[in-house]
Amino acid sequence: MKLEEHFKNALKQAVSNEPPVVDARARFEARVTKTRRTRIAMSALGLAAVAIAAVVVVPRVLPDRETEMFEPGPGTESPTPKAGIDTTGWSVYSGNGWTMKHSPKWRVALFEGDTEFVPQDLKGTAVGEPTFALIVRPEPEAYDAVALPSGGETVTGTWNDGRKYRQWRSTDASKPRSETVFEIDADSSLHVIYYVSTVALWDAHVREADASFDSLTFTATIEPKHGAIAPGVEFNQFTRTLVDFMDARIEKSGAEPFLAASAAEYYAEHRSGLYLYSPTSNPHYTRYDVLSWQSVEGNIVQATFVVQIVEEYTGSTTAPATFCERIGIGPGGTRGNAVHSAERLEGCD
Amino acid sequence: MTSDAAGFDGFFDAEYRPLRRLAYLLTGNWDHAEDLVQETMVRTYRAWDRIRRQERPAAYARAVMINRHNSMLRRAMVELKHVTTSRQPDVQQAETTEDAVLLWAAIKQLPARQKAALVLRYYEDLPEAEVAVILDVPVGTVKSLVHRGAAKVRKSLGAEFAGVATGSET
Repeated sequence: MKLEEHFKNALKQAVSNEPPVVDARARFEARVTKTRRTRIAMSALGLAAVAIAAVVVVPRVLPDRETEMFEPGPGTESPTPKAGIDTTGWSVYSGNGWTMKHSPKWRVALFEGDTEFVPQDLKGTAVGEPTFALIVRPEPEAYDAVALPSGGETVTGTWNDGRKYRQWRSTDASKPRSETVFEIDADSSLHVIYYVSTVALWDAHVREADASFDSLTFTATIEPKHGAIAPGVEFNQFTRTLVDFMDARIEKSGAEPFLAASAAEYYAEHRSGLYLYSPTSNPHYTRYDVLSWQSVEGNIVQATFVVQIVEEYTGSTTAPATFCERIGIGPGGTRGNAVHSAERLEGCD
Repeated sequence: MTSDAAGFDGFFDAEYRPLRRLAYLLTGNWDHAEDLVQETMVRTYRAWDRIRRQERPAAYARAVMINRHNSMLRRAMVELKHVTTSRQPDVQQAETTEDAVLLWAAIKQLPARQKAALVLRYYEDLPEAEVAVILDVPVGTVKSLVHRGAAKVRKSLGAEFAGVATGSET
């Protein structure tokens, strides 16, 4: 028996002890109702808190972040923790729809869809502890529906670009922790979590984490129409150009303006052309996956991407084929960035 | 039913149990599975107006479930430091074969993404391209996750399970 048959058999047997479904609809309805009530209550609380703050609370300049974390505050407040650290020269990491600065003494790790900023000498949460991680997680739900821990204190407010957020903080000095959920749109939000193993690590790293948190900036998201972007690829300006370029290639129209002269020459001469032969012929490029990227210093090409492209025949049983290109992008052209180089790869590395 | 979006009732009836089984294979615990499928249904319901026009709302629900499971894992990691709980593992019933029990035990130990890829590929029997859409990764990554997951299972079983250890992978 092949291994996959063993897997199928084992998984099938694993669910053979399935207990009966009891009151699934009733419990579902209760959850839906509860969620609605929570949303309404959150809105009402937010409005009430804003009204009280407007009348009673003198806007406070937040003191040292450490103090702020453990002292209950009013329902709304100035959104930005004042880390008081000069971030000039820090690296900027670009996620999809957001950017954040981080100290050169920190690194970026990716785990289960999260982006983690971790001091160089500590482990990422995927590896274990001890750690201090500033975790950025896209959530597929509204900012006021994302579950925050119980206990502690929760405040609401607006970020420096006017977007709403909720922030939860531990009020237990022995278990420092903070979670903030920012509004993106009706169905999505951005969750930023301070995750730490010990109070000592909190004390050692929280000010740099705050400085990163302060630098959080929201940008337009990159939504590939005909492809996907692998974890680990930054969503920077060059990625945006690549995605627009690749979507145009799949749609067989509008890719030429992205090309610098050197790249135009390459696509004119090679079989894997811009649109694969012509808009009407077979096969067609049907999708692409951006597999990896690399930043490049000191050259017109400032980022290279490995892109896996699928070509398929319309109206044929011929199996789809794939190949990979390395595409170099940098400043230039009428769009600000241009494709400067392209190369068909033997494999996809 | 509270749903007011056309077609959700039918979706709920058709998908609740399959999703609950999938949740069990992700979590290894029927209580957690029940919670996960309820949460998935609520989130799918909230997005129903938007996703019902898609051809595959079931795929959307599976993607929601995988993402939610990852979030739950993260929260569990956070809570683990502060709360020590002893939870009895679900008991396998007698009709499962010993080999399958060993294999399932090894699959449960896989990292979340490898386990999700294996379950979607082999239990849900989805093609790699569809698994890629649900996990929001390239097809190549799905192949890699399945391959590495299978290799890890083989390694962890070792000589205890010669049938799988020597089985060929296609």
